[in-house]
Amino acid sequence: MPTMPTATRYVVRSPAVVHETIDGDAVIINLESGTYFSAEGASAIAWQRIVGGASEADLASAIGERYEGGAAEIGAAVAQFIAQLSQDGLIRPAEPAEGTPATLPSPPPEAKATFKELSLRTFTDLQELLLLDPIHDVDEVGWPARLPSR
Amino acid sequence: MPSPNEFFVAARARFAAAAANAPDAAIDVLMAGHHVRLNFAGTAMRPLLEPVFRHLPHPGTGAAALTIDLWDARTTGVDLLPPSWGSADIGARGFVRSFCDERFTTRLEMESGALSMIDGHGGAAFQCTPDAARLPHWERAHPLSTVLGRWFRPLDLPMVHAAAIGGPGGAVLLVGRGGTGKSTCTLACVEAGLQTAGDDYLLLDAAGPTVHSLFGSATLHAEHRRRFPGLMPDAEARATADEKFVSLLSVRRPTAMIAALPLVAILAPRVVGHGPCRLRPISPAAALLALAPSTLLQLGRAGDGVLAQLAALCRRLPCHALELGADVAEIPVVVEALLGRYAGGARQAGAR
Repeated sequence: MPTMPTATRYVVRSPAVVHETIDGDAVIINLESGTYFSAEGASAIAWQRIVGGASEADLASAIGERYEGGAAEIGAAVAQFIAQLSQDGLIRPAEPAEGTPATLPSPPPEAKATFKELSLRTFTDLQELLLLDPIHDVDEVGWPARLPSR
Repeated sequence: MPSPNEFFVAARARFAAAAANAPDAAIDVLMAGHHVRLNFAGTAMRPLLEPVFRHLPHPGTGAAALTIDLWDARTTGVDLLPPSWGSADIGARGFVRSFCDERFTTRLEMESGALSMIDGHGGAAFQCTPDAARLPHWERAHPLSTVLGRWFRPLDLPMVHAAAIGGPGGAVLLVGRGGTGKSTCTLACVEAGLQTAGDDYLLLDAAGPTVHSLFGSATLHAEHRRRFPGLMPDAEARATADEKFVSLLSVRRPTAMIAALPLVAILAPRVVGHGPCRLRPISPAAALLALAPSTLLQLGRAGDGVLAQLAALCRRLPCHALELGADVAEIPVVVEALLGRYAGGARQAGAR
């Protein structure tokens, strides 16, 4: 049975997470994990709304105004998207005192596009920049020491 | 346990002792118009660093904005103080967490044990290396990158992971993580007579937009050596134990190195390996995705606010993918055609 979107709002986990949106496409970087992401179309809109303080329910409503799709389908996609963002360490639930609820502008006048999904492209190829050195350890004094196994 | 400031003061006293034991001349250079002084003690460090910065302009008289003391323990006989941290304090990329704050940045280079520390408020820094012969290729190609990145960030000159090629009339910024073909493009263009401000790291003045050079070096792997034999003679390569080779462009191609370049476009190279070399327009977000992550992940704490500057740059300049085909010789032809379109050509008298 589908669940109703909740009124929970979210905030970006800054300063660990930085992001920018250019011409409707979002670029998001998790500086803690070294993973980075891109979002386009409905997913970028969803990200911007979350950043702007939208609740899960606000978000489902905003997507429904712009895209053709069933409320249950969009609601489930929104819940899954928020779960992914949380799992990737990009957002966390807002405290009551944090931020203000989003005010949603009117939907665009053009015809609605067909809703497909909400997803991020995930890139992990730079995580090695943040990994602890696999060859060296630090000795008891505090200087680097080559690990005996290598 | 000493505070970061106490440790810093004590370390600089060690440098004074090293300089008294084994004095060496200083080097003064202008980086992005800022006077930086490198003080040396011992006989090992200046020969390594001087060629890397040889292409930079010399300042006139006056005090340096940033002074960096460098010494090695082997030729000066002066070790650094015992560390004041434990293994749990060493974070990613060797940053010493308890000695990094708003004022100080401290990093241990794990391969060589070199310790660098900068007092961002005081315009002073040091680097102590146990043995300069142990410095890995990335430290020899881009020495003091942590110190310089931290120093220039508050001056709105973030250090970006990118290359730039062109000339005084205009240049392209080459962006992308390691392995995408930035170095191949840079080296092919240098050998074809274009100029470069750097192969890997640059200071970005987003207002220009202009990039400023730091390092007159390029990092080569075996395939680069085969393609561009003039940049790394066999004899020199045989003496290198690293898997990569440092070519001093400021020495081998002195007219190719330029202190600053105005940017007219962003190129994201991609190795295709077959067909012609060609350009394909990409979105500003795609260019940002190629430029920002490796830049920010390497800047660490110095990266605050940099993403917005990089995004503004990608919005402002035309962005293209540069698909690298079968013939490397086509790369400079395509780049020069692009520069001709956006900057009226980049080749200047004086370029090789």
